[in-house]
Amino acid sequence: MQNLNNLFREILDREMERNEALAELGYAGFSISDDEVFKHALDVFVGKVKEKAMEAVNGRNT
Amino acid sequence: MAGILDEVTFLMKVITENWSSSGLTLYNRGDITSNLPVPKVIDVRSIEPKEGRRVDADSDSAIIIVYEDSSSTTYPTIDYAVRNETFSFTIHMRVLHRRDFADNTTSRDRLRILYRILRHVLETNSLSPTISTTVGGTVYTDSAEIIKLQSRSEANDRKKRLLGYKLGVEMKRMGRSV
Repeated sequence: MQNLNNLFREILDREMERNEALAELGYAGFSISDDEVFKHALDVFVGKVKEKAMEAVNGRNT
Repeated sequence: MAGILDEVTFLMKVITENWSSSGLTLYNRGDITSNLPVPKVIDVRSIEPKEGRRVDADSDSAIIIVYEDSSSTTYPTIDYAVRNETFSFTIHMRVLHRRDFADNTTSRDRLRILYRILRHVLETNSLSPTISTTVGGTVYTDSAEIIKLQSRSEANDRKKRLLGYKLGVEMKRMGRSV
């Protein structure tokens, strides 16, 4: 469970950093709100967990 | 000559260098109602001179952001002499709904057209895409074996009047000598 928390935190940090970088590049109008960053990070997290589950079931990358 | 581009830059160049011809092809075929010029294609890792300055969102109502999400490497031969690489990217297409747009569907239509052009670029360059770069009179060539569009999901932000798509794209380089 701790690993999952860490993984989500890592993904969320990366998405926040990317969104901030976009604003710093001058594209603040195109950066997304905090809620959307969270939702996006959650989508990525779910994808990663699914991927890991598939690997565990199949014993390899699919 | 060997390649010099990193993978994100390579994918960005595939998009920008093929955008106009894909747009024209789709427009002439009647698949899109209007052709759109290549939008700003952004790598957020860039340190550009305009850093810190606000880009006029009215002049750039659409952007494409390319992120590398992951990469994996395998060595399929017993002597580890050959390398296969798989890269996963997320491409965010974002269209800002400006208040001066003629109607409420303009940004949606624009996003649809952008998506169709980008899809055409990726589909027509899916096998052996190659990009040549000239630096100091020397021509460098970067290539891949496969680029494929794998997924699309909506990514809207009502608070910020942004409509968008998130596209999952995979690129493979196979059988490269170490």
